[in-house]
Amino acid sequence: MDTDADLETLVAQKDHVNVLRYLRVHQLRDPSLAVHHGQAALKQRSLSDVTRLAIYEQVALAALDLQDHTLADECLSKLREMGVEKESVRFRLLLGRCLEASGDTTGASQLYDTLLKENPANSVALKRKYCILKSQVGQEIATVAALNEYLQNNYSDPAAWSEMAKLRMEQGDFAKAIYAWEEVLLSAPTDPFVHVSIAECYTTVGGLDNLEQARKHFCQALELDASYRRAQFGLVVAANAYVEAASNASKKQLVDDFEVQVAKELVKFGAEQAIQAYKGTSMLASVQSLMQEYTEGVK
Amino acid sequence: MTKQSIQKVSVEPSALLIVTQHAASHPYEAIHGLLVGPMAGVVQNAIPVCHGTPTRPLVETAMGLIHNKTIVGWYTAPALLHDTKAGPVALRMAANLETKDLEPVLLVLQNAKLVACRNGEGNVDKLLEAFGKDDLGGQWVRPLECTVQDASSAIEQMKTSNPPTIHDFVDHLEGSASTPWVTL
Repeated sequence: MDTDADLETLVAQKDHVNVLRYLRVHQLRDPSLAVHHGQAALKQRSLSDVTRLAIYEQVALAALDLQDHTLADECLSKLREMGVEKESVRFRLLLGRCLEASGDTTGASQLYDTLLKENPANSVALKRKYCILKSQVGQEIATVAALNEYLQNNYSDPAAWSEMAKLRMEQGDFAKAIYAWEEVLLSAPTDPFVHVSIAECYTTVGGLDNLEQARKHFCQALELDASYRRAQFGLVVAANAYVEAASNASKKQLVDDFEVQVAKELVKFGAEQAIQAYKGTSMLASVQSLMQEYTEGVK
Repeated sequence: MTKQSIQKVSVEPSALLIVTQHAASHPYEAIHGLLVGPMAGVVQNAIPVCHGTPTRPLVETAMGLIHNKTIVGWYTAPALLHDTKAGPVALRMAANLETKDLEPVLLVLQNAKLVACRNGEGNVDKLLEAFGKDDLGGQWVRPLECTVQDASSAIEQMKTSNPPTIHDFVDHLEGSASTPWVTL
């Protein structure tokens, strides 16, 4: 196998098995491609049993994406014909996916519960339970509980923490979303998007301390990617909000004049960066006008 | 002049199309946007703001970039096909748009009805559910009568097999500075 070949090359060469490997390794979701090349690969007599089993599994999952339940059922039958035991964990997980796709979420949940009784750390079963709940209207509390259960067993899974952050944001709980985004940040400290996500949550919650944190994260995002316009605008908004909050602060709140000056400079800096980014575009006038409002406001 | 509580909403087909195309461009997430018009209760156009959850920097910047237009409300479409209600963030957004002169409207796109309309199986009746401010709780949960102007032409345009992709403000920010954003 040419390990450097890209997907286009493999498709052009009709290297069906390696197209499927490429999709798996790069975690690409292209069910039509997977089904097409999977069905072609299965016609090859030279395939080993291990490879054939993996292809049936991959085609089954792709078929579910295309809502081709007939093809998915055929793949399940073929797996059984090839000697896969119906008690096999991997087979039951695939069966669970088929049940979910057909709408039998109760049956799927029961199957995953059985798997979890056998092995409480079965992360795939925990994830699927969460996905079932997330797909149902009015199950917000149970969804969070299911994701928490997964995270208790998989504390360092950044994708799960990212999922938790978005879930909390959907529920309007930006404070808890910040906590989850901070966990994502531990695994991705140089990802500007994560810094911006945290900063936007801090800005939304508001208050002097949170706005100071927001400024820092927007600045960090710009340190990592100076052209990130979302961070540029965000910095202007957060820094401006800090200045406003400071001017409206009660006498009991200690306001650091130096921090207020820093915030004013950050408004000007963010505004300059945003205007520079839009030079030569149709939105320049609108951006200039808006940034002028912010900079005039902090003079 | 005392602000009057709105009783009904009129929606131009251009606004409806942007809302439906915005939802179609981001089928796996909730979508949110601003509504503009000449006065409260009249929705002339829609400005797509984000997919996912709106945050203060996004909304404040988007609103700041819209010039000389009256913001008359907020629209949303839930992430799940069979979810018919606005989430807590959309309710909060509608409340935050209220001014001393204007009561905004909250429009919630009904996803299952949209699918039916695009398949030629339904009409635009109840495609958008409109809500005004409830006097008791102050939440945007008071149902309003919602009329789509020139509904038949809106349906015909929705049935097109290749609807244009709508870039909201988040798409614009995450793309290049030239990525078009649907504005006025």
